[in-house]
Amino acid sequence: MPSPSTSPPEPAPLPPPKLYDIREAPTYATSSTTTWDDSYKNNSEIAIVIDNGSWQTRAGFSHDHLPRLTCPPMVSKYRDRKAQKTYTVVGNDVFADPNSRGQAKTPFDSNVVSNFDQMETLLDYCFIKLGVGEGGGGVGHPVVMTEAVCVPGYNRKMMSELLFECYNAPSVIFGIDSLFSYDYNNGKTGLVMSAGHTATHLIPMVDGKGLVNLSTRLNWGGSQSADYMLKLIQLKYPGFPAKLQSWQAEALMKDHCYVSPNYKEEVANYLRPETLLEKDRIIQFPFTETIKVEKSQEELDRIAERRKESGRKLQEQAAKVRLEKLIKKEQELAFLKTLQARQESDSKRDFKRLLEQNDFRDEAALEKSIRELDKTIRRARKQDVGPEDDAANNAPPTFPLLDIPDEELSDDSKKMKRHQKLMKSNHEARLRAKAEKEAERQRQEDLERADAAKREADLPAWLSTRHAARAAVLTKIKDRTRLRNELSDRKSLASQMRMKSIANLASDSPPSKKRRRGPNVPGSGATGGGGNGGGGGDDDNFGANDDDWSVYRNITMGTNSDEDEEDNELAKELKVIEDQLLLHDPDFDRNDTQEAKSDWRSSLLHAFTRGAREHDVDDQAQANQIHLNMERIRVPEVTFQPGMAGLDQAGVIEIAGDILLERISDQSVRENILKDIFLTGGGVAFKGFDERVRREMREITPAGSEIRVRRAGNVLLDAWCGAARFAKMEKGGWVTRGMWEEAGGEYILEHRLGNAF
Amino acid sequence: MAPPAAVPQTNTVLDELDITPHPRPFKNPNWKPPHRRTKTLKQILSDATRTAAAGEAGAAPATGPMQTTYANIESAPSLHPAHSKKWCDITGLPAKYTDPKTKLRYADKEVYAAIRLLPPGSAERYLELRGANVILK
Repeated sequence: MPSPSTSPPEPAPLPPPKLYDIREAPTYATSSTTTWDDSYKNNSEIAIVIDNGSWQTRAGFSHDHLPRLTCPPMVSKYRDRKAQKTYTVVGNDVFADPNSRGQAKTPFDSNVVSNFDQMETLLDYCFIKLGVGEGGGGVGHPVVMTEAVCVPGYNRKMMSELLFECYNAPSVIFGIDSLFSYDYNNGKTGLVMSAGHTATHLIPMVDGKGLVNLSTRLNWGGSQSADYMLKLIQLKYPGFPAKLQSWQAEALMKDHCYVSPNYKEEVANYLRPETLLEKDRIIQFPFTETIKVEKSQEELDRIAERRKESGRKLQEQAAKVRLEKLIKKEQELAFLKTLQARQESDSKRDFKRLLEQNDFRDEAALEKSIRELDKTIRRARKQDVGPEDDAANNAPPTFPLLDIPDEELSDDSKKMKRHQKLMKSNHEARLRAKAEKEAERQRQEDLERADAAKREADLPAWLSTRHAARAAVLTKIKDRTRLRNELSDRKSLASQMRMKSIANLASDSPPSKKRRRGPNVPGSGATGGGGNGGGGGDDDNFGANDDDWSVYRNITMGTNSDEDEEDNELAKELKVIEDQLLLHDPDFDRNDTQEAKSDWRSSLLHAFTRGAREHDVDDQAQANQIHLNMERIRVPEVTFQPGMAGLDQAGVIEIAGDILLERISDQSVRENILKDIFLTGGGVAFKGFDERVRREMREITPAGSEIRVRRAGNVLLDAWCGAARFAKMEKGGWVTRGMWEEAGGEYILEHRLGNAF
Repeated sequence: MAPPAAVPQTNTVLDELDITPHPRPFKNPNWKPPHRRTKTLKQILSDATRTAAAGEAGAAPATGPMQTTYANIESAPSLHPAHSKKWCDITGLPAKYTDPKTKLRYADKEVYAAIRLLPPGSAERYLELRGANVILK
């Protein structure tokens, strides 16, 4: 966008923006340097702890302080044709090869396991990595595993079957990840808010026991957020040169999004320049700089000269064509005038015949044609009709041959005479044109004088007329753009009118031209042109109004040089009026001009897509930039307002309010829960999440309530650590193989951090 | 397997990571996975409701508080009037207007002009973000 020449004095130039890079693709190289205690493998007292999440699988021994294995639950099992073998690649390793990456699947559907074949492979991988079962015949350790809140019985049955039958686990505990996390952070009574990968859960806990029957799930988590982010960016930059990957959108979300403390207020001012400067994040994607071939000054000069030359030639040609047309029209006018003159001399009948011979209905038609022609000639004369030098500087050329009758001339001279005849009419036409131009100039000057006089006499009135004129031009421009846009849409009214016009013209083109009647004459078409008002008689008056002719323009589509010309003229007219207003109207300043209004500084969408700085379309670096502004708060906000993303559920705060104020009746319990609102899971890692929860909880709870909000020490790992500690400390809750055989697949012993049976 | 006609081209990176040939001593050698173990969550849930309905019809009506299940812990639609606030589909700003043609919400006339110029199908994708698109079946 070129900077407008009339822009206000530039403010101090902005410092160059800070650019953020897009993250690298995930890789598989995750060689941990931590050394683990090998003796755990053979100690059958130590449990294996698996945090079986849909975002990450974490596995280790209960005596470890951290999980030994952390990987995405991705399983890629496929047959490689070239290698002629079946590959089974799991976890981070799937990113090693494009093939394995492409085939990678997750065993999860939402937050529960649905594909148990893949789950089995995933567990195989975990146990291989942990190095258990050297004695053969089973894992040889008790297993602690996390499961979804209120997981369907089918899933638990299948999982128990897998653990007991396939892996010969001696005993198993299932528990809920977020409750393990809360327990690990020494929570006893409070509300656990767990924002996971596929869902967000709220579970109240009283005296160390989770109240699973009061838990509520919001079907929105990290994966949905990342997807939302991806779609927002794709829609924001439809023609972005690089293809945005879903993992990139996820990384952008993690790196740049934050929870707004007060969404409504913050969002309203987000695209203001001062806010934008601070909040807009520019992400630079890799790009290749196209090297422009620098042209030397000589070359540039040569090109400019060539262009000028060809332009001049074109102008000359155009002028010549115009002149020829003008002459032709003048001749026609002269003929028509002689025709008219004969009205007096000839008899009525003869004259009528004469008219009919020349395709005129009656005198009125003839008169009209003369009038029209006169008008067009006048107009044409005002245009440039070729160089004037010969007329101005030289003595008028002589045409001696013209006065000699044809009979006295030789063939050559006859030819010469024809040429002279042409030259003469050219010369005369030019002279007439010049005179007309002079008169026009005079008229313009008179007008300007009159205008100035009017302005001096009554400034307000003059201003209002100018403003009205400006408004009229603006409407015209707007209408034209609208019409053009509508024509590109087949179903629009304008397009339909166009088709109608074409149909009319086509059906009426045979000689019955003059029989046309009825309301559907062209010209009442898209232009709404008048001129048909008096079309009651045989003649529909088509063509009486200049606008009628635009029907032909309406039916030609595509870029029309004619239209461009008209656009330019309108723009020029607007400029003139605005310049006048700038000069004389004290209330009209630069910011009011159309130019300033279409400037990027005042454009909301420019701020949205291109940030607070000017955008250079030719700059490759800028073409490969993404501006994150509204998205930074819009994406995490869905957890609080799920309706924004079309999810017809209450947000987390409303859910918390419902659980605390409606479903827990005991006043003292409620107060105790409010004192410990606990946030865990990857989704609460957004900056500002806890402040927002604190503020909004205060809004919905009775005045004076004591509210404390805290975050898990490690929002990702504490679930695993809690499960490990639970396995180490607690003795109850284990379902043994014998119990499982006795009580059936879905059976669990209820414990304080698990689901209810 | 028949002897391969061509020399297999092995992928050295993947060969290292492949766990197919890895011994699995922790597995029960007699383990046979049951038939058809893959069910989508939707199938699982509908099966669960069917068995629950059958159980209720056959046995005595369940007493005590309603059992919490995966399906019924889902959050209910919002009742809070503030949450029906409208946001601009394009920019995310508060939206005062709705375009009657595309049904997109928009913040100001500049955005409206942009909506008018959206390529076909784009409006639908914007609506889809808000779950307001019409799906013809």
